[in-house]
Amino acid sequence: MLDVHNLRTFYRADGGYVKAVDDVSFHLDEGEALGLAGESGCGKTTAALSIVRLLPSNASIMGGEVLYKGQDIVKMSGRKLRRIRWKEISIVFQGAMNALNPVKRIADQIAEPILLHEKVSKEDAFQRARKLVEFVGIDKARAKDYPHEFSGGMRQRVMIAMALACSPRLVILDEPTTALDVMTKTQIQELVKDLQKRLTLSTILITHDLSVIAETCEKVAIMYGGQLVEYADVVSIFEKPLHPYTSGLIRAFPNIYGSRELPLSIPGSPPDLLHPPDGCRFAPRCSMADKECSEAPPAKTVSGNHYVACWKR
Amino acid sequence: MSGTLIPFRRSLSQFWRVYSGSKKGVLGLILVLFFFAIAALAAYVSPFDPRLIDPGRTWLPPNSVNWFGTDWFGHDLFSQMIYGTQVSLIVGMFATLISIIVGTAIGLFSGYYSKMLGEFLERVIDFFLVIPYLPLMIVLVAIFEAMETPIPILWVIIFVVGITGWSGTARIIRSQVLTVKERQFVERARAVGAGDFRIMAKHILPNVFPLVFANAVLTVAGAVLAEVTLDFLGLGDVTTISWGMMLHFALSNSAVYRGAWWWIVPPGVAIILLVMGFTMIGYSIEEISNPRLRGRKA
Repeated sequence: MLDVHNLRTFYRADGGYVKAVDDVSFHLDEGEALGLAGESGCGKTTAALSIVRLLPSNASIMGGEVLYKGQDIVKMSGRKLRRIRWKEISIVFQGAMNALNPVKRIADQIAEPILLHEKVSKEDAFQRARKLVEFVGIDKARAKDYPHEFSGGMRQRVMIAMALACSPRLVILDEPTTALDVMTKTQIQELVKDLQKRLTLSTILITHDLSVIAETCEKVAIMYGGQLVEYADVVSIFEKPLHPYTSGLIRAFPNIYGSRELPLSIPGSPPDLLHPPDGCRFAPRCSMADKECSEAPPAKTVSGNHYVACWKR
Repeated sequence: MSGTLIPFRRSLSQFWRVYSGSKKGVLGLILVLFFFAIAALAAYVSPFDPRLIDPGRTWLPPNSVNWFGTDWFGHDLFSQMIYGTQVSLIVGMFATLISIIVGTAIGLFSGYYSKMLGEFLERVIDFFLVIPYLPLMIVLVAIFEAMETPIPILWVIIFVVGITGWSGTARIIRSQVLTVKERQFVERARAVGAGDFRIMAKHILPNVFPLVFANAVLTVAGAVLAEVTLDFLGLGDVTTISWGMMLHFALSNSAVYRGAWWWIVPPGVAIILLVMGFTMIGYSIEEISNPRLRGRKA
């Protein structure tokens, strides 16, 4: 359903381009759930926003294609794109606190995309908004309340309800559980899983929290320094991670069955994407790196749908 | 977060509960309502026809018949004061309406479009902020009057006062729009498919509206003062009865030299009280919509 080929999205900055997404490709089937993981600043959000071309004004897609049902979104006209957004692909924005207009009622905000995309009466739109509120597990009487009257988890539910307003086929969830406490996080995860099942939605979930991906996704794409380093199904990623960065990420997570040691962190810091290192971008932090790694590693297919970009595998 | 963004959703009674806690605001409201009542009931409370000339009763100091005395022509000044309230309020309200609409629109556009259009409008705002508004108003009124349009002079004054008084509002709205438009819900609205106009009208305007409102009340004060000034300088319609015109005639008939304080003090005091009333209301609303300005009460 969604095919991303060699996507490059750069930010203009003093002294050149910040290569936030550099040559990223992935594929998503109907009803599939993809998790996009990586540490802060690795280009996850930029990659996802590029899919619907919702980029800040200083960013632009420099190359590649984003094929949605065969149509290239990168080359699409603004008008056509507007029709696809929300009707076909919608987004749950990062930080639900700020993505809601403080002076408008929840129902108005959920009804807005419906009114903009479909020829329905205001009354019908509000009716649907109320249903959506109920659908994500909030008392529908509260639809007439304002955002500041909701808790963080409820606002996140509202954002999800809004994303579902025009029954899209693909929902991009940008850090839906960040800044929520563990209980609320679990509830949101359950909600996401429930939606995937009940609506046969395709989802792209962006997070730095691998546990969320383990719970809600089938496929995982690990990003590092603007590039995809590993791509596989959830089980393979966790059972036998191939890229040293992926294993580092997994090791950085405490194992509840393991010994009570502090989790290992990956030494060093992410590369400067204004001047990324030549060759493998992870090499400066990698314990396995040697001469070979000064050249860009090719994407290797290991088995079936398991790809890795590393010289050592 | 910025206090001005706190929604104005409190119902009227809730708003009143906060508002009535402000002594300044209540006093201002009483003053303004008092003048509105006088203006509305002018025909009933005025003891004489304000245009009636009694040649036998000129230059009289306040007495039991003419409470505020009489002028050189023999007009009853108390009646003139009462009718004069109408002009001040009409000009104040309508000129403010023009100022606020123009100011809000230009502020919104110049803040929202940060490129060419925004820069251009910003320069226009600067221009209107910088030029001394009094000479500008005088020139504009003079031009309109010289054109001998069939428009009544009162409306010319309303228009001129309105069109010269919007720049402060525009600047304030612009600065607020600049911060509101960077908030994420604006980006979300765009993602949902809302166009520029919808975003401005439905998402940004409601967020800056408390400012528009507080500013409007403050603008009325300025407009009242501007109208008095124009009348005082003799640019108004000499046949209307207004506080400014009373002062104008007092000046041209040497009221100060003759010691006729009763011809000067009442309009002067009334102007001060009305302007003060609007200013106090405006500041109180501003305090409510921006809690950082609000004094904490135990």
